[in-house]
Amino acid sequence: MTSAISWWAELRLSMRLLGREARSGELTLILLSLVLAVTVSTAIALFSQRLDLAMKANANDMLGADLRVSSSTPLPDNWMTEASALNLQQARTMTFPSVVLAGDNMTIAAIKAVDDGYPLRGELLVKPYGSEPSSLQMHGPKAGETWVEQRLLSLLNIELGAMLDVGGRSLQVTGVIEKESDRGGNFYTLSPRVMVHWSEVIGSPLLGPGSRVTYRLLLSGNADDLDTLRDNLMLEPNQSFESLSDGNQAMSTSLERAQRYLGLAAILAVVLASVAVAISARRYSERHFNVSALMRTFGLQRNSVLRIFFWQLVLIGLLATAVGAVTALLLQQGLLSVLATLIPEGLPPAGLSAWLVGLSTGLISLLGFGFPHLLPLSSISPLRVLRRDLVPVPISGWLLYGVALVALTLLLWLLSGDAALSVGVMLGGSLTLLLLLSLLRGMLALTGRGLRNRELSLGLRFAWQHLSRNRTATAGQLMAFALTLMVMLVIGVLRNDLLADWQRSLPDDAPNIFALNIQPYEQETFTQGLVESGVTPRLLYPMVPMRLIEVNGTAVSELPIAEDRAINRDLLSSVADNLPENNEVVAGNWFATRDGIGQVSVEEELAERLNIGLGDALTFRAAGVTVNAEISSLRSVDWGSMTPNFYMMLSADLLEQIPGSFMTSFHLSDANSAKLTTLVRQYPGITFVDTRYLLTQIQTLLQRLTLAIELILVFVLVGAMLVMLSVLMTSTRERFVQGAILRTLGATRLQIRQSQWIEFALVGSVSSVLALVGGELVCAGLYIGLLDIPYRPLGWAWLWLPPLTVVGLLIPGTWMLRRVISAPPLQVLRD
Amino acid sequence: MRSGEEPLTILQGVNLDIKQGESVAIVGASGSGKSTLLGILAGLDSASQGDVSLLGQPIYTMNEDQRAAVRAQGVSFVFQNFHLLPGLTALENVMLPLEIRAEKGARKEAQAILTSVGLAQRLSHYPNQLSGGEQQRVAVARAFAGRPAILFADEPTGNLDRVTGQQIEDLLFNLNRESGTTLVLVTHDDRLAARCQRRLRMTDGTLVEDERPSQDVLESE
Repeated sequence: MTSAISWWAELRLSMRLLGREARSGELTLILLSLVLAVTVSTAIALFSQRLDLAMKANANDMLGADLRVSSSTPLPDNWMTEASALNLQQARTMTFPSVVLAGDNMTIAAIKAVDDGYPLRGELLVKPYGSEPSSLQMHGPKAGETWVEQRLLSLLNIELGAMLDVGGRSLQVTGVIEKESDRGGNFYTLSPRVMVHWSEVIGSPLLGPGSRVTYRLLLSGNADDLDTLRDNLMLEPNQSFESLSDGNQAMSTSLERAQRYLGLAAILAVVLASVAVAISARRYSERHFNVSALMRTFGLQRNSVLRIFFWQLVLIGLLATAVGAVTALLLQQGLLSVLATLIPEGLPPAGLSAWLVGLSTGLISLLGFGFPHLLPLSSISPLRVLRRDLVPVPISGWLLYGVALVALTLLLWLLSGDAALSVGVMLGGSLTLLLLLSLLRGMLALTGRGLRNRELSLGLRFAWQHLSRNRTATAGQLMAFALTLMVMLVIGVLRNDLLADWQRSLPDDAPNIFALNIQPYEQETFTQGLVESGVTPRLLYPMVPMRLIEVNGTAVSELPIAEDRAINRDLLSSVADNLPENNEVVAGNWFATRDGIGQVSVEEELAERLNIGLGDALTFRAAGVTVNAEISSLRSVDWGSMTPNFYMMLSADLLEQIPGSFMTSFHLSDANSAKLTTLVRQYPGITFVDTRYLLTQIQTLLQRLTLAIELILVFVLVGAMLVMLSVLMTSTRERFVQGAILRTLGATRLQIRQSQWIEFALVGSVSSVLALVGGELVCAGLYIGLLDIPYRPLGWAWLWLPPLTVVGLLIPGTWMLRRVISAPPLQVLRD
Repeated sequence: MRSGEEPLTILQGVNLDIKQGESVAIVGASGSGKSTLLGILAGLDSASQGDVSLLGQPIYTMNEDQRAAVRAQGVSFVFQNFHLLPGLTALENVMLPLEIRAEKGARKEAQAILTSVGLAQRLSHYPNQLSGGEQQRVAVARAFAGRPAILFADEPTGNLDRVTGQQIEDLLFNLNRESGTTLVLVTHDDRLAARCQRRLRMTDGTLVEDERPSQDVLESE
């Protein structure tokens, strides 16, 4: 005969036990905290994925496609065949600069020839000829017609309906383009747009030798099919897949940061949930020491006992996951309906992956953070039934933390899909945790020593005794509070700084018009003209388009960098008199560049790409002049800022050799909008680039991101508060007993209350200080390593967080423990 | 037995033989080693030296899980603190050992035993809704539920008043007689001990047969 029972019998037994315990209310707490954990993490996963999808849709609007391939040679036919085979929607465009004529007037225009598939994604808003209002277009201009930007009409001094000569063909202007969401915003598309039908360009002299045409294939459809196509297409060096970051630096940086922030928020919420799980599991385990010992006296083997509790944990986890899924869905739906007017319409539903991430979070954190706490249940001596004081050998802290760490890594990887982020947060988190733990132990020990022979008031003594009796439990509790506070702090501060950073880079009066090709003799009159138009003029920068032809005496065509997109193209350069506001010197000496002879400062990313550095000699050709320069500094440039930025900045002596013009940027308010036409007519030689639409797009996107971030912040804060409450709840039973004993000994309710308050005050202030220390470390790491925002210390938080935490603990704590002083002591002690 | 750094001898030269169906009381002052002896006899603990057989099996050579298997065969316990599971009803508490042994008809048998100890009206009550005496009766019912060959009781009436204690004693001895279960109980209550066929007195870790030895064989040194 044997006492080993089948796994099925074990499962049934654990289900039965679980059912009975649940009915008696024993499991409510652990289940509740798990449900909360799953709800928070799933809701965040779902919501952030939906927002992510919405943002991607927005980004795709700007790209005009889900995927875009560009080529400097005609698109190979097999691309289109492959795309058709995958059922992808497609459109083709050609863009190139060309002169257009209207009567005697002529100007350079950015021609865009589109086929019948255009536009695929995004918006093309056109004001048609006649009295009809502007409307969104589902196609491009017909053959024989052309749509142009308003400023082209101003430049050529014509009206809608006039004829325009494009590459020898006469086309009627039938619409004014008011919005072209895939217009892009770099300086090579700065001429006014002229959009024509594909057939008007094919076979025309415009595509002759020497033309600078960019062919693009725009694709949209199923993400998997797009990936397949991306894998299948073999690109030549002159062909590339384009993403938003190629088109617009400011927006892609914001998007990236917001995504990282959301990812981070979700991860921190999961860390919170895991802490709650660890606390609950530990309590669950301790409360089952007796049961476990008793089951052993009934003849159950160690592993069977462990498996029975393991099954219970799994069942609890599954139940919590199911309930959490439903509540998460409701919560998310509720949020979406509340914010219906603010959130983009037709937000795509979250995919299976978000569900998987959210729901598996519960089980992984339960197994990683909860299961190790069950292990002592199997090692408990059955002799405990005779001697209650026998407790199992506590499992090694290394094992506990090791398993938790592995689980956490898994969760991070699952949630972020970003190895660098996972490892960074993990290492930073563990280090911070370790530091905090050692600080905590040291503080407890020191305080204990300091208080040993002191006369303390009754309340303080009770409070301190309660905290110091079980140092591990107290350290754990403090740790949980500190971690929770830290998460709130980091998420909150990060949000503020992220938003402030965006606001700083794009203030309301950010320059929205660029003026280029200002001739030296026009400088003064143009500045004067701006002032008269009610515009605050900014600094005029000399601008010279230069080509790099040699590096250290070797022609670039012979170097491995010959295929780089910076070669055979004009690099916008200026003189080093004034370092633009958003530039920072990262290597070398700026003054050597500015004041030296034959010196140049290079933008750092370009330098890295071209494999050039300090001391290298560069040879440029500009306006028929060849100049030699030595690199004496490298600069980081914020391309997202709406101010003139340059790849190269030369010492003054070099620029004197090259004939150049000037450029500037300024802010034109909506009220002053009409002044642009006047300026365009007044200075026909100056090129104006209107980035107002682009800026509005960016600002709308930032508003949405801000909203998303604030919502996620609310989620994290609610999650954190719930975890704090559950920590408080785990110690209620013990407090009931202690309170009852004290009252039987004659303590007044006030004395008990006072000792509780003192304890909360101690816990609150210590944990908030720990949170501040940890917060400083984590913020510094994140700002510098991840988000690329200058780090600022937490500052005022050091003053307001500790008192706020104490109050935040006192109110719910006093409410939850009200029964400690109201329940009859006898009833508590008999339970 | 080791406790701390210095070896601590709790039991010394104990030689004891208990026969099937006997009732044996181990008496002695607090700290004399009674409970330790009980733990070793029942296989809940192991001695650092010496031989112990339980139900004819040499448990001193066995590991914990093997001893658990022996316990499952026919050993049960009644404790001073009852050790009922607070989350389970009276009926469920009695069913538990039967369920652990995967026996069929656990509910019926548990109901029958609870009825026989006079708790037919208390089946669905939780431990905290029962009086001390009722709780101990549930514990006794649970101990007899598996029809054990041997029952170990640690101060079974220690937490009860005299009258209730008496009822529990009657219950234990009746069941002992009816089912032929061996009864080994630890107590410092001489009156309870007097009801057993044999009385063994622990003094500083040594075991002495009390006066009025019964007809059963025993040795002690």
